[in-house]
Amino acid sequence: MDPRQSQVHLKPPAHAPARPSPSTSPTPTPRAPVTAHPSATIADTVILHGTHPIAIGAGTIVHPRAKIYSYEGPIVIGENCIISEKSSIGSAGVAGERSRTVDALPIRILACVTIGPLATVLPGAHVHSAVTVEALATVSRRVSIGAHSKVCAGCEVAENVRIRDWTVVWGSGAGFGQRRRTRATEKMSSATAVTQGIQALEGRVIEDARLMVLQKEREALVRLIGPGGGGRRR
Amino acid sequence: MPPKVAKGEYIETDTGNKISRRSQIHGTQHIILGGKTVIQGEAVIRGDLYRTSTSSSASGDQTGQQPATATPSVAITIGRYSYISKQAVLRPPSRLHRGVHSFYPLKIGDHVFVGERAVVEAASVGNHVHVGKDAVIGSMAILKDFAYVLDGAVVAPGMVVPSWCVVGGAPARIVGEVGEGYGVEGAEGGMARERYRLVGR
Amino acid sequence: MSRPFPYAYISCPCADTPVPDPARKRRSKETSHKTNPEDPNVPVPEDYDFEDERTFDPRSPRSNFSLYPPEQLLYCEDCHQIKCPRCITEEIVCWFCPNCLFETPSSMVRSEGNRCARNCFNCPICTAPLAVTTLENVTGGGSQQGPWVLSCGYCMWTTLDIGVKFDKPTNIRTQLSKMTDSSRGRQMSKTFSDLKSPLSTYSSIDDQFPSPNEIRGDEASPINEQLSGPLNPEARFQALKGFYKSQIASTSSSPNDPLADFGAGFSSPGALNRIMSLYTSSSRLGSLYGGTSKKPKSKPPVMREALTASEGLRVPAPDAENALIRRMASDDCGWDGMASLEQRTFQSPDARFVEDLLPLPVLLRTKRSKRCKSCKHILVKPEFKPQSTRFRIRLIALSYIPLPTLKPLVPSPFAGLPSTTPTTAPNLDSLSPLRTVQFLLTLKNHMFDPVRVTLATPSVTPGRVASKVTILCPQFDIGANSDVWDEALQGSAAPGDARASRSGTLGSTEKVAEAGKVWDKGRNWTTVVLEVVPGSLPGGGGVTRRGRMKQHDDGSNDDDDNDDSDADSDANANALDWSGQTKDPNQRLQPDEDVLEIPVFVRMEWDSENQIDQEQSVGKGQNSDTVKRELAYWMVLGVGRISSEMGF
Repeated sequence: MDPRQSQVHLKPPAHAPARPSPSTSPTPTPRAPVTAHPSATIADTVILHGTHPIAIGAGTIVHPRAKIYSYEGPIVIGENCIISEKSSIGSAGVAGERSRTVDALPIRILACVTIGPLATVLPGAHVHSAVTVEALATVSRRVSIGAHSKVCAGCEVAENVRIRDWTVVWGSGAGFGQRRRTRATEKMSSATAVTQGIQALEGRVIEDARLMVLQKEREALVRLIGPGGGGRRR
Repeated sequence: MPPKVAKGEYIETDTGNKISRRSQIHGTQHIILGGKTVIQGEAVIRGDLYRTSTSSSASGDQTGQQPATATPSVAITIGRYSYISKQAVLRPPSRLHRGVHSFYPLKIGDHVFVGERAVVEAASVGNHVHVGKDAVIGSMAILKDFAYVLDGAVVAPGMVVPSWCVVGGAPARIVGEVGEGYGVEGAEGGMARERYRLVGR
Repeated sequence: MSRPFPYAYISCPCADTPVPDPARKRRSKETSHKTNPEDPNVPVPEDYDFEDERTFDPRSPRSNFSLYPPEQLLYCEDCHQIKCPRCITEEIVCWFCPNCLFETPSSMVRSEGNRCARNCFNCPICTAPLAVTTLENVTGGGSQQGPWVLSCGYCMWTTLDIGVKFDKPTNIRTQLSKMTDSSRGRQMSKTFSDLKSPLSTYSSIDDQFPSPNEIRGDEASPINEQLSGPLNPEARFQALKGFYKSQIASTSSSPNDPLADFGAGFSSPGALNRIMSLYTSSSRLGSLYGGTSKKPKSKPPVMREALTASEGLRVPAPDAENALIRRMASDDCGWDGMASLEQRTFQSPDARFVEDLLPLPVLLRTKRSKRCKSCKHILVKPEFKPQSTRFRIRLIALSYIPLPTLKPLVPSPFAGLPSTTPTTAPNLDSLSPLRTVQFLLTLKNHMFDPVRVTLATPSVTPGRVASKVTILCPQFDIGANSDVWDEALQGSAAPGDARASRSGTLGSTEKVAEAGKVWDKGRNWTTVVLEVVPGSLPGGGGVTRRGRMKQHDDGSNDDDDNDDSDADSDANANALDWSGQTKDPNQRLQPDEDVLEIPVFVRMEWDSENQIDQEQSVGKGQNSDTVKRELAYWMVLGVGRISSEMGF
């Protein structure tokens, strides 16, 4: 056996009986029509269910055990995203029924978005580019999250809310405990900086650095999750 | 789902680990369990995110990685009598260091409790640590022995929680200390053996 | 932290004994054994009185202050008493930074303040720790060269948000203090003085400031004034303090006027004679009492206020407030641009906007040793090193009093964890009223002597929700704890297996709880059965509460019930119950009144080896080497929450 193959091990422990994979599942859950870019990496154990199409962009990485449900509308995931384990995009809802009656609620996730472990993105969400949705966070229905924003761990963005670009939603859960703040994008100044005569850098360089780290992380993940570089579903 | 699944939900290994058949463990060869550890159903353990040798990753995505695979690097170690609850996620932390992005091992000590739906991306979790349910331990955080993370707390990336400290909130702050008797066998923080014993009965 | 059911709290007897008088305690250590209210001879009869007089009411407001989880309690071997955090004193063993875990010498804490002097900072926005990161990654060089910033991994704040970057990744605090000091005031050269602890001010005031003589009087030197300019807040505070000190000194006629040494006089409460001299030697006060003032004054001296910037006066620019308001109202500020009260707490008083917030060096933490307040013996002494979790001395109550654990008695073994609770176990978060539930109360002895335990409960719990409680076997023995090795050799699973076999599926079907018999017994533990009949909640009156609610506002409430947000129906049901405003206040359920807590009086007797303190023994044992000891205390068992609905 190729040593490379043995590195990538996506199965449950050897003594455990093989878990029925979604593709061979006897349940009548419809497998969603998926169009994934060849350079996207989608792990074995990702669940892709639903009736509407799911599109996954170039360079995007979907970690094992992520769940993507397109029952209520099509799902578009842009390029260079990272979808973490056990995150859920779309709602598992009742198969087939709602999509007929209600207007389809598409989920649009643009480029370079990170969805953390156990995070939830509900139908109708529009997540702009370079957004981070951290672990256990919830993006409710019909929410729009502006570019370069961040929903911190455990926070919930309530329905129909529009978050502006460069906003950090942080604090405890939903409602009162939650705070927002705007990230710096330009040269910021303060009393301290002015008197020092510091030639300030643009706040944007921080974001550039972060995106570069993300790029590197994706490269590392491709090696680990997708066998042989741009691995596809096996 | 029924909390008590019919007989045989748990597989007991030679060293006494009780692992749910419904657990979602990836990269088993990169995971070391100390024995008598419990892993409940739907818990995700990402052993597949291990550290590739620096040389190979630095030199890009080339195919010659034989030296790295000869001795599989360890992604996650869990000590004795630790307990990983349902739907918890353990994933090794990662960071960019000198231009190389790599994963670092996640070390979990003895008698550790990880609550339901907790996400642990710490660099190290000491002995007798309690991680409440729905808590998030950020990347490269360090939880020292006897640290207590309250339910729903968000320990920020890189945070250090000193021994005996109770942290809570988002982002987590030190909100108190556990008593001196914390961790005594049978009392709060010392339930690990009892917990283990009752699993799968 | 509230605990999930079932739990056991132990009441510290100090709540019912007079609080030790600190003055009396301080006066003499040697007399403590005579005057001490917690003399070991006293508590036992007191406890008897206590038992006779009234039942411990877990719902009484005082109980909040005496109930502790068992692991929080200590035990004084000299007083033979449980000690709670209220009956101990603490001494700091060492100071350390919770982030880098380095120790800070106490001398440095005094001089530099109680914050980390290294590179540890908290985010001024969200308090998460800040990391020192390089910006070189942008170019991908990874050469570990600057510039450097502090960045928050949680809320993504960086020092670039306030336009600050650093040239090197070390000594960030010094770099930052240089920036802030020179920006705010040139006079103060001391590093980062606006973050100093109050501890530091007294010790270092003299070397930071010109002595009172220099700035005494009305004429401050004009040169000084020109130099100083606007001071930073801390410098201004120091200047004002120096000014008032000199004012007091110059207006006071008596050379040893206590107010003259402003700080020191008020900061050391120990100097009783100094406080006494307030009444005797102060010229002004002394004259009031017809005292012994040396030269009584006809006209009281006049103190003036600060007049110059060097004295600490600051006159804000006339339009400063308006400028602030305009900025607040402007579009690029908004609500998110304002610093919250919480954020401003540790910042300069002038910080109004988020751009004014500076990174905060991490507050230090301490390791503390603990002493008994009444006899001064050390109860807890941790190892000196910050990272060590060992103790040199650790007298915890759990080593002396039996550890109580409570479990519902169910046909199948109870897993002790909410996640694995068998379906057959009663739901402790909603116990059906008037339906008997049996619990297993296990007491585990950690002493090396066998113990005889007597438990007593009121037959009906105090309060409006009267639950009936019966302990089927109130008097029993617990075996002695033995060496760790004995347990290991016997097999670690032995006690659990024994218990499981008795209460397991097989055993429990045959085994029925019997009055007067212990349920189960192990090497150093005994289990008895507790029978509880949860009372019905007030306002029930035949119709269940939920039923009444539905009758009142059937439509809306039904909607609520059907709503899928009502998944955690228990919590919601309770929330509904006590907020039912339409009800008569007497009928209304008070918050947490539905929690079923059982007060249990525990009295334990054992023969212990005789020590020096013979006079403390209650009675001689059979053997002259052993003395009979006893200890009595209340504990509270939190059984569960009574549901408003009748069970079937």
